Amino acid sequence: MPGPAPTLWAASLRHLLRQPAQLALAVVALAAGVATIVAVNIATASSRRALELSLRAVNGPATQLITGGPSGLDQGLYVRLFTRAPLSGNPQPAYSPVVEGYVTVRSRVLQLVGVDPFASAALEGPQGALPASVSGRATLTTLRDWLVEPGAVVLAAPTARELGAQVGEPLAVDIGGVRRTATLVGLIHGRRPGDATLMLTDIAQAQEWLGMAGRLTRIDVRMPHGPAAASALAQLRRELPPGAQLEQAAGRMRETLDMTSAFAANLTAMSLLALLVSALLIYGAVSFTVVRRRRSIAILRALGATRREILTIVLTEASVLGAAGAGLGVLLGLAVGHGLVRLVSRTVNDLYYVVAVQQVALPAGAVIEALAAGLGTALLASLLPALEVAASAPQLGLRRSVIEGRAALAARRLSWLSLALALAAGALILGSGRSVLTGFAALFLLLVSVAAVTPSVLRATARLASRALSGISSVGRLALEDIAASLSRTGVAVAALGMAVAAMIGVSIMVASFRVSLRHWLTQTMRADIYIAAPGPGAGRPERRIEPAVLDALLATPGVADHSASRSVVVRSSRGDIALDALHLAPGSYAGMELTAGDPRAVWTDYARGALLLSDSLAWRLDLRPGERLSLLTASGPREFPIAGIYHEYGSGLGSAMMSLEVYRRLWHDDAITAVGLYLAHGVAAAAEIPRLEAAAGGRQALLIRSNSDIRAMSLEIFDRTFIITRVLYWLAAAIAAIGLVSALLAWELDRTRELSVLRSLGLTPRGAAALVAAQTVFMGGAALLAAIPTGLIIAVVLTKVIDRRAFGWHIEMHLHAAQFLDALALALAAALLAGLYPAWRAAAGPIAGEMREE
Amino acid sequence: MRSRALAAIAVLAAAFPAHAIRAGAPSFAQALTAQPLEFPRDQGPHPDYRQEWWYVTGNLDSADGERFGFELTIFRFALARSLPEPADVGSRSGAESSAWRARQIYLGHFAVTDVTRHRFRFAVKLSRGALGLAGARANPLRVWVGNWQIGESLVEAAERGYVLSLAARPLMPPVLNGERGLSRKSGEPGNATYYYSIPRVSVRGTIVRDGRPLQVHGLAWLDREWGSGSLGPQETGWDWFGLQLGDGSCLMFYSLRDRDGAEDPYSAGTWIDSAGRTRPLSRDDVRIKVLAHWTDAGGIRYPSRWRLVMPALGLDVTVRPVLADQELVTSPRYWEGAVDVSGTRSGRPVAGRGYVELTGYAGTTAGSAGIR
Repeated sequence: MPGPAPTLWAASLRHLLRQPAQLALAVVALAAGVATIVAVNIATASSRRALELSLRAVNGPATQLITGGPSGLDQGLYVRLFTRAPLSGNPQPAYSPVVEGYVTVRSRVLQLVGVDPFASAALEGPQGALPASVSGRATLTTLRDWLVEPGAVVLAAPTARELGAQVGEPLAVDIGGVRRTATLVGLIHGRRPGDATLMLTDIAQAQEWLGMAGRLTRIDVRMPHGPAAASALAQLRRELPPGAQLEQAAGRMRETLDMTSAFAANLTAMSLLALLVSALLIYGAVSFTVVRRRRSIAILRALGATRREILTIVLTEASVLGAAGAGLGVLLGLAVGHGLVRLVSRTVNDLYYVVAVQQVALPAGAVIEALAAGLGTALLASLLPALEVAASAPQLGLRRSVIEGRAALAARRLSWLSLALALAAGALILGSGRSVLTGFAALFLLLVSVAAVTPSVLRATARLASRALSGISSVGRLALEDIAASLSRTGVAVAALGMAVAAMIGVSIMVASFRVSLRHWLTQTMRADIYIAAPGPGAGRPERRIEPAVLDALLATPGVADHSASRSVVVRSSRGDIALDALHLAPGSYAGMELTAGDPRAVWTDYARGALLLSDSLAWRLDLRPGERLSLLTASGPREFPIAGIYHEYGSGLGSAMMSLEVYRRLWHDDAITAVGLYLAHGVAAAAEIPRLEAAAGGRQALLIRSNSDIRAMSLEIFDRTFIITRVLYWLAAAIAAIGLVSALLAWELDRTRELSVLRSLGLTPRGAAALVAAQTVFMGGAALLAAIPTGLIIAVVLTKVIDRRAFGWHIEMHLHAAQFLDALALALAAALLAGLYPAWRAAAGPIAGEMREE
Repeated sequence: MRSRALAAIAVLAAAFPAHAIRAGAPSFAQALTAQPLEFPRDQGPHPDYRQEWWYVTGNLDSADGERFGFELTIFRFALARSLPEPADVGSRSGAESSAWRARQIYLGHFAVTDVTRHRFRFAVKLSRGALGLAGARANPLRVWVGNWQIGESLVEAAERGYVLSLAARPLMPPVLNGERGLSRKSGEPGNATYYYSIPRVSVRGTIVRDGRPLQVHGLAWLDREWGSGSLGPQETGWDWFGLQLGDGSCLMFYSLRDRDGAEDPYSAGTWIDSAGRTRPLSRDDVRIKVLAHWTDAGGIRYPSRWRLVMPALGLDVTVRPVLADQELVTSPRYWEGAVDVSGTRSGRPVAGRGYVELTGYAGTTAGSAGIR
């Protein structure tokens, strides 16, 4: 097939070069959309990768893991496996005991991994002659130091450098609020990225520091390959005491990674939203460039260019535009992604696991995906205008009125489409049960539906306003009629703005409602006057506990009238890991528990007898109801627990279960306490009591001692931090919309220079011309807002009642505040005004004569 | 003598650099003077000395005429004379010190020479002396690493394809080597060990080869040494011979090699006649001539056949490995293998079996070897 003639390409190029500002804006809009995708991808991939690497660095070559309950395994199991294994000539499993926790060094969180170097060497290689885990990972000056030097630890060389730690020198570490002195005895060289977040130490040291004497976190197992494996596995299963579990190392890792994927899905949805907005803007930009060239295209057609040639040219232009925008977007995304990584990993840390992102990962697939999305978006967005212009007959190409006529028709059709989309969204939500993804799909349909209805709203409001102004201001009337008559220019940009504003309204209502619900819940639940907890990362970490002697001293402090106590751990259930809060409730605390299901009269009696209460989130996630049962792995093996009720909670999105502390202690043999809530005697002020409690702790343990109101403030702070990402993303979407509007207005204004010149020559002052343009853009902003408000409300409902419920199981009450709408109003008007500034300035400065010369 | 430097080299070269003895840290006990050895007490561990080993080698015959050799050695290394106080445990009330704290490391080497199948296989097992994972006690004798053990009356270990399980019965009391059990390795005081052997131990039991049990019996040799020193600076390694002759006599001799290739004057041994009477041997009592060499895949060249002449006893024998390749590719590498002995004693033909150990050929010495 012969391509378009060189003259056509030359015309295309000339045209592209003549409109640099227009093109730049279109490219920037696309780049912003692609950048958002890339940034979100980087952020989620990096935190996921960091988690994966740290899991892998810690698990090493293990094929299976033996794990126990919250207080780990009895070390006797390892001793039995190592010394009493039957003598066999078959390849034997290798076992490596691990004691694990978190330490904080100069405000950086590291994973403390205590290993036996000989066992971990045997796990790593069949010969297992030498402590490869030490030598392979580290150039240890001496094995002696590892075993004998008090507090001996090993760090990755870069980590040591960052912490300013020197080999042979002491290093202060904080474990659960207790300060320890470590000595750096060696460095891990080599480039295993997962090592960067590890602090390796001898298993004896880890046990002492973590208060786990006699216990192991887990035993790593490397099963031999081949036919011996099955019998070795069966043999091992027989050896396991009740309460110990054998699981696939890979499966364990997957499970942990899955926990974070719900969060990643949220972000991805946000990034798709940004791309959707930019798709609309591309559409606007391309249709503009095409429309600008109707005349030249019509001439080319008259000169014999075929439709196919025109189509090829326009689509090629679009792909050049798309490639440029996508390429730029990838670069921009890389830059933004670095910043976003920190936000995401903090959120993941607050909510899920402790992840230290060291390396920014960008999967090659993601770049290709983003490039393809950018290019695809540009092509799709330009397909419609390209088809239209290619199909137009030469003489029609010259007439604007026809285009506007078509646009008006299209607007009417789009209104119907909008209605259909909204209905489809409703049907999707009603018909999809628990799926979060369909929830998001419905959300997109709603957004597109706003976009579709916006041109009609713009047209109708402009007409109405114009009628209202009749006889009052002819210039104003003219301006409004102009808007209504220029839908082909303005419609798309305003639709994009409407969509961004609707998303903003929806999200901000959701966030605010959530915040209000959370505050209400905190007030309701937090009945004690002062809360004390062991500090440290990871909610369910066993090393987070209040030292028993310190606890006694705290409870004996004058002014303390009563207390609640809790032990927070992670236990294995038949449905995966769950967070368990074992609680001893003070009489005053019961009222704080807000039950959403279960018989309120029987719940607490059942609870005292050993029944579980599940949080909303957990009950939703596991699809469990009161009266059903959940099997948990206790120290003496799996045990079924009845579910007495469901309580309201906004903790992590994964939810937690609650159990009586007495029952927990009996079944798990774990006496530690993670946190206490103190009720003060009448007339004792929290502010006065806190120093007394700090004195009672006496420097033995740095505890978090906070008043009720401080905790509330802190919780809300964490909440706000969590939603920073959401805010960042919707401001990004708004920025894209604003860029789009600028581009559309510029196009429109260029189109109207003649009109304005006429008005100017008829006596319109430069200031008047500027005001006219500004008023028009503000009006468009208002129209976008008008279309966005109802949809924003619906989106808020979908977010709170559908998405959040489905993703996290949270019950959130809707709370509407004028502030959220004022925000949106400000956004819409600010975007419109900003977008109008340049065109208005041009309108004011535009020469009269030059433009009139053509006449 | 045996693998003393193995001790030093395998783990301790790394664990004990030149500055090993820190100012103020109590140093290890030293083997300086001959002291009366007492049994069973001295069968057991001597934790105040830096290194120690229980070394069993032997030749076995199966009921249907197959020939095997085996080595099961358990080394003990002390990392420190005493443990420092556990690192600031104090503040975590109720926290105990960990039972994993240990200052002793146990290292097992197990090798089987399967003459019929032309196979030589070895394995290594390493553990700290804590929690019963590995350890040693005197009465009844038991030294173990994981499930490998040398006991009063048994020897047990397993590796890929071979499980060895033997009942053991000493045929003679312990023989003290050197000066009433004090064996000097160089002129420097402390470069010495306490060293005794039981050259004839009757063993009987099974070898499970590739899942199939074979009844075996034969003669083993137990070597015991402990001390805190090392070789002299000029010494690079040694050739050790432990030969059990058909007439009931036994010969232990170690030839220390110096850097210049000459035999070191501290080379020594013990002659045990069929009645159990011993005679200490010095360098000049035994003449050794290397008749052949074997080179391993890595290019390391070991002597592989010897003529051993002891004019005073009228002994003139040739010592031949039953397999050329009995090299343990561990860190460091060494050769330890079953041998056949044939020749004459006072003109009459004599034959026997034994074990030979060759160290220091891989080019590493105690000072330069590090952990891989």
